[in-house]
Amino acid sequence: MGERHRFEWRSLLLVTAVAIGLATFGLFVEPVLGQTETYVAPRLPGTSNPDVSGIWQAFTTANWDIQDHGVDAGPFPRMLGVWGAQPPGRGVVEGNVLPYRPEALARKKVNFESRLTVDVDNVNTVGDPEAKCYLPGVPRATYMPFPFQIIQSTDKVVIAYQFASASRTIPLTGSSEPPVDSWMGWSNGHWEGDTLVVEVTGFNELSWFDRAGNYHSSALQVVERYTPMSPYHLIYEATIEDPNVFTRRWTIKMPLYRRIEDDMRLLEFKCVDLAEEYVYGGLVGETGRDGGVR
Amino acid sequence: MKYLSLTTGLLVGALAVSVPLSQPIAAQGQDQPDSAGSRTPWGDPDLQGIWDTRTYTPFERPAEFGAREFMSAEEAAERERLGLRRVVSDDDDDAVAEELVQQDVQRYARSDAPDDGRPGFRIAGAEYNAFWSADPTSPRLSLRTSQIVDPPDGQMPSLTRDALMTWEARESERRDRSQADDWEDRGLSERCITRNGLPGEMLGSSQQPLKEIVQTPGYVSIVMPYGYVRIIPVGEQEHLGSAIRQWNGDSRGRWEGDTLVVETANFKNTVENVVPAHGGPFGGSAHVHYYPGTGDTLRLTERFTRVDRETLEYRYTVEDPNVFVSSWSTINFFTLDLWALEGNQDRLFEYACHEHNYGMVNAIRAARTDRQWALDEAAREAAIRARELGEKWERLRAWEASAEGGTR
Repeated sequence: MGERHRFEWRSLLLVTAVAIGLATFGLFVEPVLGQTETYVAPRLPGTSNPDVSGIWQAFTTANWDIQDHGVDAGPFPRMLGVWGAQPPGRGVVEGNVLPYRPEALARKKVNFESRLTVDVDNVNTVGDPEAKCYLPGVPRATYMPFPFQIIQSTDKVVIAYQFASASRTIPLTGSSEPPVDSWMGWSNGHWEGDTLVVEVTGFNELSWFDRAGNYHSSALQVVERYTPMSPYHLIYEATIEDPNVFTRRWTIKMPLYRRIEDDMRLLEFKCVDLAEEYVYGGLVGETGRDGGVR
Repeated sequence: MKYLSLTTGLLVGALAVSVPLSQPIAAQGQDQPDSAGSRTPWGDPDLQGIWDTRTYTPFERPAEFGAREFMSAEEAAERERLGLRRVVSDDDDDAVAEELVQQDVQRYARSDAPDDGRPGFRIAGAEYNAFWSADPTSPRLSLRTSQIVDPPDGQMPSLTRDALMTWEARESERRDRSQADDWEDRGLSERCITRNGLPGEMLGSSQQPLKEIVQTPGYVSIVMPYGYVRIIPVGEQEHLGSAIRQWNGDSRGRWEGDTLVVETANFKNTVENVVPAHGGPFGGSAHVHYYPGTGDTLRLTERFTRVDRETLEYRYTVEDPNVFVSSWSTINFFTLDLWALEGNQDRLFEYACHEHNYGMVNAIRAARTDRQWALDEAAREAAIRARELGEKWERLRAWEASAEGGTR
């Protein structure tokens, strides 16, 4: 990957020179998120499609809350100091409004209040799935604070996420119906110009959008759009539709940044063994594992 | 007889599950264009597709075949008749067959019970097994008598003295543990951490036969059925630093002609994490399924070669001087998923294991409800392992007494 996307200093100098020139004449216009008309991405050999392969990462605080949020101490300041603090962040939802149905908003509040509650008899439905190392769902997988890798072939795209080793296979031809509900949904992809469009359906009702308890039902349908913006950026948009929970569709949008470090690799974050004491610890007594009935 | 020429007769019995043995062998695929040597648009050998990675070849050579590397077509037919044409490990074939029969008897016995709504509850007997099996794909039948081709006797080399002493120490540490005092008393598979690990997980089971290979410039990825993607960078990069250890190691690939060679190191220390569940030395059902060492010095080398459109030759070599007295190597053949080839869209479905793992909750609760029972069961399993351990010690002593062992 380093070979194909080596930073081109010469291009940077040229761009800088042009920018200085434009600024001098008062013509400089700040780049706007999504304004990508001028960038033409390299093609995947053998296809007319842009090559969006690479290791990408969102740099937002949306995993805490997809809406605007202020600083918060986080759940365990006494234990973690500021390690567990919620950083402030602008929301990623267009208009910053989530159009909850009135009766659905209450559930979001319950989710938030019980986000770190573990109930072993309702292990799937109570508490934030992230804390339990459950598959993150879509679109949350995209803006978890972990990198993910897109592997693009001629008629298929695989997306592998570092968090929980989640993954999706996205055929670009022959769209099909989900055979059964799942955490990561059932993806069908196609190209619209230089945008990779992925329609995701077949979700279960168990994943959340963030740590704030924003949630969906199994009627969720997500349409994602990945558009190259520069050699080092994609624009990611996801439109969310779920008539059981929301009164209208809504959209999130954020840039994805290419991880350009030398020999950048997606490492393993199979977090199950990190979550077991959290999930099952209550079964073995107050003293934690190895306590109780040894 | 393309397979004969291409694989020097290794695949003489290339048959699909549904094809009776009386039909001409190796007849499939003759009209298909040959994909050996085919390339991706960016010039790499093209290994892509959905592959059935099951095998019917015994892992180690059963005694009945003596020193023979291949069985006859008649012997293959007899194995078919005995129901042994199934995914086999080094498990005792007769014991496996008997166990399946007993399971079916139990299922039939409760088939009159009221339906409580659980999926599959009313499925009995052979139907039950069919429910979990994964046709219409099917592996080819090889006449090889063992997957292991080196050492030439078709047997795994002896474990080292160090590995056996580690095994003993673990057993002794576990002596007062029940089956499920807590989650770490269960195996990695039940905990949804890994299934068999590498390389065992590269071979399919009847429940999860498929792997999907997807390539992009600079990478070969393998979508694994148990919830992750192996991403193999192809190039000159070195392995990760030794502080980074992963359940599935760190893989680096290179092309040698049309063969993808993958070297994997940086495996996690499994001795600290793997708990023996059902008789295997350090987890899994047998040593075939899980690597019994620390991972510190393990090096796995795999070779993928597409020998024709529908066949991927898969070889691997395990080297770990701390665990095995010598390296060992295997050959297997993966078969392209014909159902997908016919234009059907196939894909590996999500493997959400940890997400619904009420089995773990129930195991821990059960063991605490009747701890004596859970202790007795743990002791029964430990006795099985103790017997295996004794056999391993005998094997090591025999090796040490041999000319090969004596020279070390």
